[in-house]
Amino acid sequence: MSLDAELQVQVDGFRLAAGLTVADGEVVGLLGPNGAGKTTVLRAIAGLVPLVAGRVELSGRLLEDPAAGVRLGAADRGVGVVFQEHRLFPHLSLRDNVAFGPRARGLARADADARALAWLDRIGLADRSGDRPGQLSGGQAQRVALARALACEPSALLLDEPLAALDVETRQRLRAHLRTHLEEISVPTVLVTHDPVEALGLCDRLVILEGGRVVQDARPADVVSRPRSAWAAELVGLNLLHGTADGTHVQVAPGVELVTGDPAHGEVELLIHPRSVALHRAPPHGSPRNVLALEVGDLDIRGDHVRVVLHGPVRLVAEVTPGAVAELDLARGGTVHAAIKAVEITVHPG
Amino acid sequence: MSAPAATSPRPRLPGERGIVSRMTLPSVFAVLVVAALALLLLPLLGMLVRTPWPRVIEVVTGARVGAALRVSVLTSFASLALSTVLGVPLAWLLARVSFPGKRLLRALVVLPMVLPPVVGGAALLFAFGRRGVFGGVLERTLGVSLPFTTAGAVLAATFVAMPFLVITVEAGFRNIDPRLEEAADTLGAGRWTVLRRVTLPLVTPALAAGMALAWARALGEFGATITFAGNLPGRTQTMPLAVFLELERDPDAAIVLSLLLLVVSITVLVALRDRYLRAPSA
Repeated sequence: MSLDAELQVQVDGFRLAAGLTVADGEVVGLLGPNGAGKTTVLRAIAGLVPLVAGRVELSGRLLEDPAAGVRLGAADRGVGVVFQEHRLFPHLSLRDNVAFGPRARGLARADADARALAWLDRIGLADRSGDRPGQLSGGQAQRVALARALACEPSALLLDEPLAALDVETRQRLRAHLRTHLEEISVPTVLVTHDPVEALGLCDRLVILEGGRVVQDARPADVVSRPRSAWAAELVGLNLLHGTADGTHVQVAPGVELVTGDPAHGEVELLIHPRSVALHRAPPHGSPRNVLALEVGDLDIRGDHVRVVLHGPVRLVAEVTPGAVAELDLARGGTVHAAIKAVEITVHPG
Repeated sequence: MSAPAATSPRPRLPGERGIVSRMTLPSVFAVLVVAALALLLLPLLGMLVRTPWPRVIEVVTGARVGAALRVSVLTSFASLALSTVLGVPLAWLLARVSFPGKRLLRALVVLPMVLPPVVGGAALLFAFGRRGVFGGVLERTLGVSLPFTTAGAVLAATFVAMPFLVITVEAGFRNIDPRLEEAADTLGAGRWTVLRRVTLPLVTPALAAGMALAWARALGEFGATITFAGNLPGRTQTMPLAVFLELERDPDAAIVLSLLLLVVSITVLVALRDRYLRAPSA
């Protein structure tokens, strides 16, 4: 039993065409740049936006299939959703918020209240059961929102950037909290996030979505070592270039060739660690065989190193020491020579 | 919190606390402001001065005033109930459903707010009078005759009062975050449950305000009532009609009735103070 979705959705000129399969108890992280369609995937599974084609099946139950004329409303799907903004009902107490789902599903009031109180106890807010959501902090409200979704005993759980609206400290605490709950539940779970720590720490598998399409579906370790898109590469801190290989020569842009250590042929993807990109004021002489003159973009100081974004025929990120930034007198808009050793370039067939 | 400079229309002068504090009122304005206040307050003052305080109890409990009071309470609350039952679904439709001709429909709904009430009463007469377009049918089929009955007075009051409720409640529905209803949907609540447990509770403050406004308007209704329902003591003679009549017969009774209506009006205003007595924030 699992969640099996083949989603084709049309929303205001945006077209989503994505397949997603999630096993019971599996947590799939859904990542991608803004506007990639992550939230639309969740809304389509939850039944909040209709499919134009495809199908959604949950635990062997057909939830939606436009071709067969089947479409269950959100209320009848048994899919729990935790939204980015908690969306707790402001006029109901915490107990009534959590009891809302069980009561809507026909549980007697006393039983629903008992279940709500048990959930509030589990999330450590039992003493606040009579409070209104307005009296809670952001982290507490999001915990109640999770409890509210889980109190319905859903057949699948969808989380739409549940920690994104919280401050850093609260987010860290809540991440641990969320992991505990996700480990306990045995239903398919989809977590939309753009936080790499969340993706790597909470998810069993990652699905990268770009422009409404799935560009990678792999274990977190595989995404880290072998990202399949420039966006995913940047997420895990790597450079990814697409090119055409002819032996050890790879054309990565018109008139721009890089020499690699491993020969290949045809479409390839090159992965280069930012630390392997050396920067020089003047064109260097000697062993590095790849030198590109590029324009300096943003400088991003991260603790003991600085990430330098370079623009030109190709886009690269270099990682250097703060000392090197001063020594090279790097400034936005200046020109710098980026050198990459052939052996530092990993070649993958594209 | 945004910086004051971002919200303030102009930079404040050093030492300036409020916009008015350092500005002196032009003398022409001062005269006009005094005149405006006089216009608004002197009639009320005159009424209070002329009130026959020792006779108040006697007048209120008197037969004629008592009857008017009873008719007013009955018709205003019946009109409130009718306005609420009919007005809330209409407000919901205007706030939540898009359909062709919606602007026209809203204009028609608001029309009684600006229409002279006498015209409303005449229109009701042409429609539901004995020889009216629908009145004849009503009487023949159901045996119901509305003009010059208490039910007719209720109808007249509802005609002028319901728009106040519809407009206020429509704004209330618009202010509800539809994402909350969506969340309720994912929790297994069907349309009816969402309406009953989320939408209607959240619209309650706007509903209370709309009900207070509509009730106050129904209570004060004069023109449409006298035109459509007449001025029959104990049946259609409401307090405003009685005030008008008693001015000729017993001015003391007119003043006491007016005072009563004034007290009710002030009470409604105080109840709605959060909506209308608070200066709009900059």
